[in-house]
Amino acid sequence: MAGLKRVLSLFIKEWQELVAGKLWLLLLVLSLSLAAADTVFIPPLASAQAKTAYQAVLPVWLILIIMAICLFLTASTVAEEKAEKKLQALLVTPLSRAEYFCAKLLFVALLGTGCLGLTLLLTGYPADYGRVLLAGLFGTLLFAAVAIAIGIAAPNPPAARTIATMVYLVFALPLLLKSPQSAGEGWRWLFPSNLFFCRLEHTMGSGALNGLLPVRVVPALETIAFILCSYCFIRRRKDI
Amino acid sequence: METKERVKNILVVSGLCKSFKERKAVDNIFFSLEKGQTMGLLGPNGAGKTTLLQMLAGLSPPTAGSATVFGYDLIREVKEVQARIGVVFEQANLFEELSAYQNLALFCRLYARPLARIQPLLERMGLWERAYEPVKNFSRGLKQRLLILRALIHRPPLLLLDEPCACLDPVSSRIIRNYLLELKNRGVSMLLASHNLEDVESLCDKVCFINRGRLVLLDTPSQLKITHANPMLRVVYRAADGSTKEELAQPTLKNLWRISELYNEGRVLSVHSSEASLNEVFQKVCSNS
Repeated sequence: MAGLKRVLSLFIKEWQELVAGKLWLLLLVLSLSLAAADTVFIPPLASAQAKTAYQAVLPVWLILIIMAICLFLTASTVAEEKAEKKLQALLVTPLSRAEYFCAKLLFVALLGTGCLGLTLLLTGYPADYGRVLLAGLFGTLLFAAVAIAIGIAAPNPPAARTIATMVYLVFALPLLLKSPQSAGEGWRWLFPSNLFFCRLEHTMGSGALNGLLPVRVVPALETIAFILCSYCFIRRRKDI
Repeated sequence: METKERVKNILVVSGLCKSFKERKAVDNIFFSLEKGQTMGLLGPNGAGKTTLLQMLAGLSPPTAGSATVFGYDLIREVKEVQARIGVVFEQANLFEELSAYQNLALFCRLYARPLARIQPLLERMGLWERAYEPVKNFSRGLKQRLLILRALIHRPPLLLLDEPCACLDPVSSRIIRNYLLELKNRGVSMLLASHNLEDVESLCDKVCFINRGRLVLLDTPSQLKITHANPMLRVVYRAADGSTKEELAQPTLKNLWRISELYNEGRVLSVHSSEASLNEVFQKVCSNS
């Protein structure tokens, strides 16, 4: 119970910092969502062809927004806290590394999923919002776990941003090269973003892989695996 | 604050070592600190003071040796130790976007202490008027005061301070020194790493000199000055040819006899005693090792 209170305290601090100093980020996300709404909005009388095109674009858009928020925001924030010894100040209190990790994950998961929901709402996309948001939640948790590990490993915030950019580009590769013909190519499964992307497509009813693989279970397992790996990495670091 | 047992020495350091690859940052250090005592850690830059404090705060595991804080083992019971210490870091590691109140509130919540503690603390340090201003607008002196308050939010019986008055103007420095003196009088024990010898002299019961990771000297400030520094007398007198001369002399019997002779002849214009200082000890220790 005390641990949960500490996680919530840190979670509140993250929101306070966001509101006080990173309003630009919220504005950026809002403008991205509005841009998505402008591009992808599906008018009631749109042709079936146009609708299919929109359906192909929107999941890619969503995943790119989530990846940007999770990777860049989290990696640079964690690296900054580590470089400026703020992390040390927190860890000298009863707060444990696991609690710090959970608070960060919780914050980014809510922020990322919230942005995803906002974009969906603004685009008016006809989807099962609950399922899409659940898929989004898994994605944000996965990318946030990777970003926290990047933030801890990087020596300073610029290095963290550089690594995050490289990871972003690598993760975005299967999305950028996607074509209906190559949907089932084996190499794509090397990228964690691909599975999450398929899950998102599936929930939005536009996936070419519907029924091809257990898209409901595997992303959850993959997310858990990434979170555990990231936590183990953080726990073993001695230079915090 | 509950302690494991009624220990006389609240901090016992036994052969602590810390190596970074080949380099030994802290090498086999032994000392102890009694309840209510303040110990100064002195030494040149890179001597290992900060590394030692980091180890004692449970942030950096030692390579060898052990330490107990209030009877709790630093390695095995690190959270018990951390609950009983307050740490003032060298770097102003506050959350700059948040206000002073929000910064303290965060640590109050983490220690599960009531938020009602914040206002009296901020008032005591003259920060209440600016409690809701973002910390990024604060001067270095104000940030330093806030850092000390943050370390005291859970009322720890032992404070670890790393350069609390570094880069501060004399006024801010005096405010912090007076507050630390007040804490000392209230029975809070302190381990103070500093280059400000005035602070160390006015606050510390014991002084520990560290150089190249090794403990070089450990004694009371007065004893160190007697043993390792030379008090001098600055005598200004009229010479035989009528010119004014100035001389520095050690207060030996021979010199005192000579000064008294000059005085009897009415030639002494002024005599000032130049007290032995920790600065002298510091320079001697650094040059010797």
